[in-house]
Amino acid sequence: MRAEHVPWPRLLALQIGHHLRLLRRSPLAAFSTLALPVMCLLAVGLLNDQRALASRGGIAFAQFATPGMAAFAIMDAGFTYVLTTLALARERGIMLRVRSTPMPTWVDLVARMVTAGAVALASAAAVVGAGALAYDVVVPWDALPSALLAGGLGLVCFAALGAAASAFVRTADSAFAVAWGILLPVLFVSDVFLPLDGGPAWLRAVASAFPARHLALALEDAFNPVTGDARPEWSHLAMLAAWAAGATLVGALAAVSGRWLRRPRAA
Amino acid sequence: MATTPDDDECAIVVEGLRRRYGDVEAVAGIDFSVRTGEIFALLGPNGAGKTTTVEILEGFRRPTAGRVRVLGVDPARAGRDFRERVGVVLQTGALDDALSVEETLRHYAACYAAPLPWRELLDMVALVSRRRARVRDLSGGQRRRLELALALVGDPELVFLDEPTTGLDPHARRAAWEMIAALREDGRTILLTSHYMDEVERLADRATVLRSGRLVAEGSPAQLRARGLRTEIRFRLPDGAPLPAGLAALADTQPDGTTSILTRTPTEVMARLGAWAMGHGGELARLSVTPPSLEDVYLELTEPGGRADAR
Repeated sequence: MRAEHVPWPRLLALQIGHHLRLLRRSPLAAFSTLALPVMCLLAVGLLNDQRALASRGGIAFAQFATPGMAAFAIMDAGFTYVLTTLALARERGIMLRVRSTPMPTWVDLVARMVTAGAVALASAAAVVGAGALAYDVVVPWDALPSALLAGGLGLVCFAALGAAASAFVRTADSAFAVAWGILLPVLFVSDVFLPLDGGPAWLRAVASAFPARHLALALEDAFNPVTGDARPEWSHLAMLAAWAAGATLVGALAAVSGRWLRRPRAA
Repeated sequence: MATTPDDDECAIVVEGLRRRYGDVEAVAGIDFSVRTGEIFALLGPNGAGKTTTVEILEGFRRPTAGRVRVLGVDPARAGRDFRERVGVVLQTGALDDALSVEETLRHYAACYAAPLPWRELLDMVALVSRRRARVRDLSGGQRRRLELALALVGDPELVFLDEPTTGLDPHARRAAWEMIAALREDGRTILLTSHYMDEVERLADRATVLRSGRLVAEGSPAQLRARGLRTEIRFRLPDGAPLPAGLAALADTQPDGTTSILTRTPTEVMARLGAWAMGHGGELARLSVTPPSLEDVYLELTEPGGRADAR
């Protein structure tokens, strides 16, 4: 019997390279995860060019929208990418293929999360770069560590949600519809495209139950030179961590039941 | 870990295996074993429980009841050691379309501690000239060959081939058969599922027939063929010569005017028929003797209302 295996760090590196290669070769995935947030920022920035936000200390709209779109980039890379690629891999039998090799399934899942993280970082950096170049957005370097902390936790949270949700969609086609059908309405009430400050209190309360608003507010706080500061907003981070833990639990239960390996069986 | 003597010489031991999905019992209590180094075929129509059985043996599904040992371990609990020793051709082609043939093979080779050289595998499955082609541009046969190469890339002791030649043209099927036969020469054990009787006759050392989740027959292809099925003797009766009573009772007139006798004792019937014919003008026109094919046995065993229902 062969006792040795390929060490898992090498398998993880192999699988990360594999997923990055597949992403580069998928124009749809590359566009929707990398280009879309930048395009959204340029569009909302243009539409609100001269607008200042009194509720946020009088900052320019783009100073609010840039961290909002960075949050969008992180949610997109975490939730949409993980959900749709996992559903597609399952539908094509690739999850079973991986399971048939000595590569542990958790290595593949972690590799997908790391790939999503790389995409999120690139996409968020592109958003911030575009904001600085096009709209003179100020980058608060001292608040960068707390922004990275919130962004990293947000990515883990949304990737875990994407992985958990993928266990419950039946087909890869429906995964796209489910991903955007959930994400888009949540984004509109989560201070991502527009500040919710003047909205009804009940809407803010409902939106605050979901993680999207907490990620957006944490990043917007870090980026606000007037009302924000460099300290992490622990209440937002706690909500992200709670959602991440819940999604991980659901995902783990789904993994045990074999839902990640194949489509639910039609009796 | 307790083992029976069987476990030492068998790559696969299945005892009382059951798998239920809701109200449907896909596998309803089956027993069989696969000896190390043989090609064993699981036969049966769609929905007979073949793929469920194979997926349990591969460790992808848990049984509802029963005992399963594959390479001496329970596949549902087996870890990376098991995966290093087992190769799988999945029923649905699980490949990333955006990768090239070579990238696919090298990627999966890198998952194993002691893989076969990927260049040799490409040569073995005759894909050297297509090594830079994207998977999406391969023909059905080329995809199937790539999947076979992936099943072998870890140099497995045991290979599961779930309908490995479905969708292949006749040339590609022949090539795949040669490849599969060569795997046995290397000492590997192979569990094959198939709809094709010629494939099973050509390749399998032993086969078992599944129907509605139950085993209805097991044995070598020759033993299965000989399972009491009747040989058909056909001929044209000489004009105006009725058969003697003993043979007439067995005979049937066919639409083309020939006479057909189905018998489990063809030698005895031929002796009587020959003796009678010699007294009635000699040679019988259009005489033929057809033994039952494995396909006949398979159809009889798996058709609703067939022999399996009478048991």
